[in-house]
Amino acid sequence: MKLKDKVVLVIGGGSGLGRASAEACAADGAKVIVADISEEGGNQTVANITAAGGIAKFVPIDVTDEQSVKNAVDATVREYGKLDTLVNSAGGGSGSRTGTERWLRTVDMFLKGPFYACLYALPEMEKNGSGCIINVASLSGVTGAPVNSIFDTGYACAKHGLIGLTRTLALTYAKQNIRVNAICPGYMKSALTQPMLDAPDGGQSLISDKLRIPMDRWGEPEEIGKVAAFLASDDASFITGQPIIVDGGFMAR
Amino acid sequence: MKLQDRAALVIGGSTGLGRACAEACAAEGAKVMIADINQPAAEENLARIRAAGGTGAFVRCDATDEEQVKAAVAATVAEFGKLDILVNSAGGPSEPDNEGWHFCIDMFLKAPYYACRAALPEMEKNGKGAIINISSLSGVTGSLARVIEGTGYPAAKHGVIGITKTLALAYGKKNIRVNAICPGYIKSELTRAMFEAEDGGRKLISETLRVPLDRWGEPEEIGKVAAFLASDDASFITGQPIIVDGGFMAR
Repeated sequence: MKLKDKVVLVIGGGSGLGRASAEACAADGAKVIVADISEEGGNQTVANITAAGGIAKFVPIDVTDEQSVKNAVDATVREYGKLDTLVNSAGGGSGSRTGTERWLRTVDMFLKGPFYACLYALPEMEKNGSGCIINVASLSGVTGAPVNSIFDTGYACAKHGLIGLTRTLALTYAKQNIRVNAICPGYMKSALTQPMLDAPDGGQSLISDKLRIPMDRWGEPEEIGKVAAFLASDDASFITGQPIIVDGGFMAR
Repeated sequence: MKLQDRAALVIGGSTGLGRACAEACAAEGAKVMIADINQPAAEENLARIRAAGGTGAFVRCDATDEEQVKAAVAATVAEFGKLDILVNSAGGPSEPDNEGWHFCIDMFLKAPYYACRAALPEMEKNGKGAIINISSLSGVTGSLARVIEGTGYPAAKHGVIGITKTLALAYGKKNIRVNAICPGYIKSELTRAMFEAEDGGRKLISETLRVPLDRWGEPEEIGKVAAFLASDDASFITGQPIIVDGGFMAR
């Protein structure tokens, strides 16, 4: 119960890696606010947590809306009295947007969203005397991959930017006892990768033949969630400003 | 108890970072074999481990002697029935001279090689395994050495990262994960002279290095990371150097 008495806000906790992070933190004793744009998804995460004996509440959020993000941070402090840990895990597609609109939408969601969350969370963590921010980035935050067009570079731009935010905030807030790290997931089963998993072979040839992932399998969301819970705990008390790569060995090449 | 029933071999487990790794693994339920040349310190460590309800044993081992390392692996399997976890944390001081250069290669590169070489077949038999190599910031960046003869340490610490990544690739399909920890400025035997200086090493940390967290790291802050990497919580992490340095490398 390494997170006993800690209050954790998980933005994007309604599905995928965010859900796994919320569940892992709750399993370690934290009180969790599950913030998501999907009420159904958020409530499901809360149900999963309470069924396992944990404490959680749902709060709606649209990460592209600064006021909405501020409201979610305020709701966390109102509900549980403080904010110890912020997990930025919101994500989603760019819908039917094309061209520059698609690029901008991606940057809004994956870079501005975490920026707004950090903006409002940091003063609460300073009041609290300590804090921990975990930004769920991506391999696309530390390396490159080919895309179809320049308009599809938004993801890499935003995820690299998120690492820049992570390192800079880590340096700036270290003396206030606030640690800031990122997780760079590799190929994990999630809503974002569902189209690849839906392939007839379950996405195995992508893993084995094209990417040649050393561990030769997809990652499970829990394998990110538990890393988030670790980073949130005092076991990681001397780790800050780091992108932790969780990818079954892909980047070892 | 994330390491319940796992068998761990900690080479260099008597003092410093190795001691902290042994304690952290034992606290999570692992049975720990401490392999080291310092028996009295090992016995102290084991007494603490047992007092906390843990299980451990000692085997005398000079990590730079391949036969002794093989024997330490064999002793672990004989004592605990198997080998799940190997932590390579052996170390010792040296001067920045020619002899010191070669000593660093022996102590910080060849020693982990001998241990991995002996441990991997046992982990393959076991069907799974986790190796944690204690490297250094000097394994991913330049050290403070001023002469070529002082480059043995960064050479070896970089080299063990090469072993780490390569073994991760080679053994990924065999459910054996291989990672490294790159400690920053941590209180250990190797850094004792620095943090026991008149100012407690504060000037070094705050002014020279400007470590963001503005303090020395404690050995436990490495030990707990080793226990995490050994556990299933890190089940998708392999081939990675985990930097634990109070933010120094964020610059």
